[in-house]
Amino acid sequence: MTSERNLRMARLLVVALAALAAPFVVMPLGSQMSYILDMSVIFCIVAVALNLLTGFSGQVSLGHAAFLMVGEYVSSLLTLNLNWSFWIALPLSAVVTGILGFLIGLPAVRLSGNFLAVATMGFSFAVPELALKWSGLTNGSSGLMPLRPALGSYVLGSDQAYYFLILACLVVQIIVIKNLLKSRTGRAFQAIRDSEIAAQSSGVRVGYNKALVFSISAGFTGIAGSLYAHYINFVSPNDFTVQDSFLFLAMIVVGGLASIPGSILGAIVINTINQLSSSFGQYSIILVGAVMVLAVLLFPKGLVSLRVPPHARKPRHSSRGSARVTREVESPDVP
Amino acid sequence: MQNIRVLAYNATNERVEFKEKWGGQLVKKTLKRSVTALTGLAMAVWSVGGSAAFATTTTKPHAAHHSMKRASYSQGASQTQIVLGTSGPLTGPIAAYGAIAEGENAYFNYVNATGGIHHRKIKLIMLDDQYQPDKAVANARALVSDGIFAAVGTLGTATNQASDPFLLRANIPVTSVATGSSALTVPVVPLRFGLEPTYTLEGHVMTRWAIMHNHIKTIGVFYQNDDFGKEGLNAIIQEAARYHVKVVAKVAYNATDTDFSTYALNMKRAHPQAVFEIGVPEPTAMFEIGMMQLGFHPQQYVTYVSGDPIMFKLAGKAFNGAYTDGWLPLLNSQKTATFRAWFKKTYPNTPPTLLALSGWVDAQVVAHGLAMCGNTLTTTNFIKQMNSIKNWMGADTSSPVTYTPANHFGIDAMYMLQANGKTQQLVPKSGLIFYHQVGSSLN
Amino acid sequence: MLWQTILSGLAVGSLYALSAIGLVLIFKTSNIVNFAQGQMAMLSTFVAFQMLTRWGFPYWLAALASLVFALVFGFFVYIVFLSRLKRAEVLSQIILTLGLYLVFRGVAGVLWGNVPFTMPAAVSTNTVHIGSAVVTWYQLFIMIVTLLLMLVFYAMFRYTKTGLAMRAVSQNQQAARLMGVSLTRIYGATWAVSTALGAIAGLLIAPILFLSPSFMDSVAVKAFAAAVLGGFSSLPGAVLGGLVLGVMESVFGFYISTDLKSTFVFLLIIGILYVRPQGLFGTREVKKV
Repeated sequence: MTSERNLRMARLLVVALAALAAPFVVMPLGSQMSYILDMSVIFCIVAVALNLLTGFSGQVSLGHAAFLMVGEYVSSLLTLNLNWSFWIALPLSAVVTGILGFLIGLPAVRLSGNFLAVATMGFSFAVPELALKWSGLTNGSSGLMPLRPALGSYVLGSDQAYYFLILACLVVQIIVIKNLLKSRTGRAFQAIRDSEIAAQSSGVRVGYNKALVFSISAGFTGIAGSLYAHYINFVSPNDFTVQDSFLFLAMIVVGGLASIPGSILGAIVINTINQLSSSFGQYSIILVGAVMVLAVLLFPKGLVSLRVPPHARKPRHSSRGSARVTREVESPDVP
Repeated sequence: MQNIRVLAYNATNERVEFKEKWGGQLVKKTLKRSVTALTGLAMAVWSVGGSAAFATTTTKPHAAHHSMKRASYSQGASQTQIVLGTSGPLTGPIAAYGAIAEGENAYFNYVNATGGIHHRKIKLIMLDDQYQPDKAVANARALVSDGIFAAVGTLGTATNQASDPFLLRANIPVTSVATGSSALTVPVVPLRFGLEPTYTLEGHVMTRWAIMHNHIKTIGVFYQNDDFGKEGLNAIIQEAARYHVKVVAKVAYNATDTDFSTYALNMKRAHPQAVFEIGVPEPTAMFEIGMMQLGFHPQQYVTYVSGDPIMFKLAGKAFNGAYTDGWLPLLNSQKTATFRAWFKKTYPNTPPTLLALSGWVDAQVVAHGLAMCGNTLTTTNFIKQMNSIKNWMGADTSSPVTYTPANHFGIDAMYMLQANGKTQQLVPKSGLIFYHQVGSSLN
Repeated sequence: MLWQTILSGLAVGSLYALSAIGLVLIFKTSNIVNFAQGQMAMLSTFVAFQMLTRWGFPYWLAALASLVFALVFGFFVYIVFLSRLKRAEVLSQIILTLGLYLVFRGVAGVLWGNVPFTMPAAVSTNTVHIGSAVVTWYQLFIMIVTLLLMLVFYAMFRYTKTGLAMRAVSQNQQAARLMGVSLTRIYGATWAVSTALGAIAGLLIAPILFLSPSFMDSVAVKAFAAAVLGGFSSLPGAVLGGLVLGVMESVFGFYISTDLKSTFVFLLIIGILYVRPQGLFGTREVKKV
């Protein structure tokens, strides 16, 4: 028991050190690498949020690109038009996106699988259209130019300084979600994933919890949107499209469903490949596609299955994520 | 391996003007050199099929750099080579526009084969951004790390808006931006140069001409629902208002639409005498076919973006008689013979379109600016020389190229053409119509 | 004008319906949404295009070759990729098809470039008046082909032995195997046939939307929505879903707004799904505890 705990602590320490050292390790590799690192951590936030919804709670979303954009716009408009501080705009973008997520999650109360995917996909189409339509507010395709935030008089201008802001958000998010999953609500989410009817019959309010997890996932994605906007310093209606929603799903599947380390691994791998592929010209999407195909074929349970977890000897049901994307399939145990 | 990003040329006689201003760290030259090798290593390890990257990382010792003592260089330029970079949609939803980067590449191949610019070869780094702003930013950073002298023909408004700040802060000129959006040229950014006519200019030119020559009384506008379509729409409305001509229908389409018959129906309901079409080729063609099928045959005025002979194939009969405006010569003219030959040589399987020609011209203008720099290939001198280009007809354009410190439009004149269905050719219908002649809503 | 908007909507809706049939076929047997379907259709169409315009074969031969290619291609994709993931999460299988989507798309761009081509149509594109509205013979032809294909496959599912085996596999793989049904054969056949269906869709749609590596993108997304609207496991449902979607787009675009078209359409889809969470023709699953 204690050795397991020590192992856990040691691993946490290594991960923490790696996370703290990362920006300085990649810094001499040029600014593109620093950029890819920062963007990877922003997408880690999205992936962890999406995995809470899909991996842990069994609901698919193709609307997360839209949540990112809502976060972007809320934060940009608050800081640019109302001159509010970024430090207020950041949590507020989470709140607004979270409320919106709750509304989008309402149909989810009755939908699942592909039906839910299409319903949420509509949202990914609607947000860019609305951003173009309300060009008085959003400045249409000419876009908005939010600024880098400042701590007192110190502007987080460098990639390295901004990295620690994103990292802090990711760490807070992970702590919140880890505790959430251990709580009554979190167990309710997972119970709903495993069987809605069983959950209902044991007193879980299915509808409310389904909308709630949508809201939480959207809220964190809104934070990622805000961080993106103030990092790139440019926001326009086509920043994130349905294709990106698919890419986020690819991140959590490649990394590992129902796993926080998996989400992080997946986000880093997919984003890095995606950004680095640009130098392959016409072959860039072939490369990204091939990596996705190989990853899924070689590690059907995600890259996270590579490591041996400290609790490997003590199998827990909840660590085996199963997203019910489609109809309930009888799990065939035929080889 | 033109498009492998890893470069390892020697940086000894660079006078590094580039400072990384973010956070104020100064990248030391020595560090930079070792970093190039490191980046190469990392790339090779990270990228699948990147074994070729290793091959290009061997640093080649620089040949005699003492011969030209009076020459001075900014990043990316040396006695033997000038490095340029471009980022565009080589894949993704609007990959057809990758032709622009291909046109640029074809021109630089031609330059290199014919002796280079003052014996310096051009190296063009082509990166794919899939028309996504976040990838364009990554590419801008990659290009800066690769030490480009200037960016050329980067495509798109949003992509440029997102990525240019980084290039500009690094003191890298952004030239021949491949978009007609005036958001990039008004107000003038000293380091950024447009080239294509703005959608505002073309809106004014086409509308004025249609009113003066064809005496149209009512206008309907079919436009793409973004900066491109809306800028054209606004210019048309303004010019029409000047002559009390009514805009009776405004029909917006989205780039992902599949059904254009509804839009044709909307237009037919308003029944304008002339329909202006501010869209990219495929949707415009489908819209034209839709109107024809409904038996509605208004005068058509098509943006230069779709004023391409390819429309004869896509829209067929529906394109016959349509007017369009242009800033490039006809594709089959003598003036474009070199372009056609070299484009075919570089890309044997791709048809030489107007898009590719516009990329070719983008490259010509930059090459002209570089040639004017002589042996003083510094950013400051380059900007100075670019700003002195006046009524230059050396590029394969039909309109002269002009830059001044207060005007970075590049092209400020267009001419009208009409589609002749019998010969399947576009036929010139007017001489050059200049920006100052139509008056404008810009400046 | 209303009749015209409806007829135009039906015409474009039948494109969605046509592409949705293949999607539903795969889903019905294997529970996988094949997001590469549109790209596989695109590649098959390019095969016909290559034979037709570059090598000068007659239309019928090129179309036939395209179908044969699609059958082999679909089977190949199943055997090489999907069959290896039989026991993995459904979501993993879907992401696999997404990866294939990118690969196929990229390959087409490398082989044929991204400049749009015109594809010859199988029948005349002249217009015909139906009441006060106009439609082309070609659009009518597509509608008829769509309905025929739907009926043929509906009948096959219902009345043939293969259809029975497909239904059995989709309901219970283990039991189906015990009954002597070969999973590989059934799945392989399904992938082959639905890819061929995709090829038919591609061949019919390309003359309208022009042939380029991205020409099936928008249609594929709409086909997915159409299939879901119809219940995703019902062929008549998919066709009806496609037609409803087409008409909604057309009517919204004409009477309400063109620049918020997809927003309205998807709002309506969400509305319909809220009332009927299993889609128009779907049957409610009995979930086991």
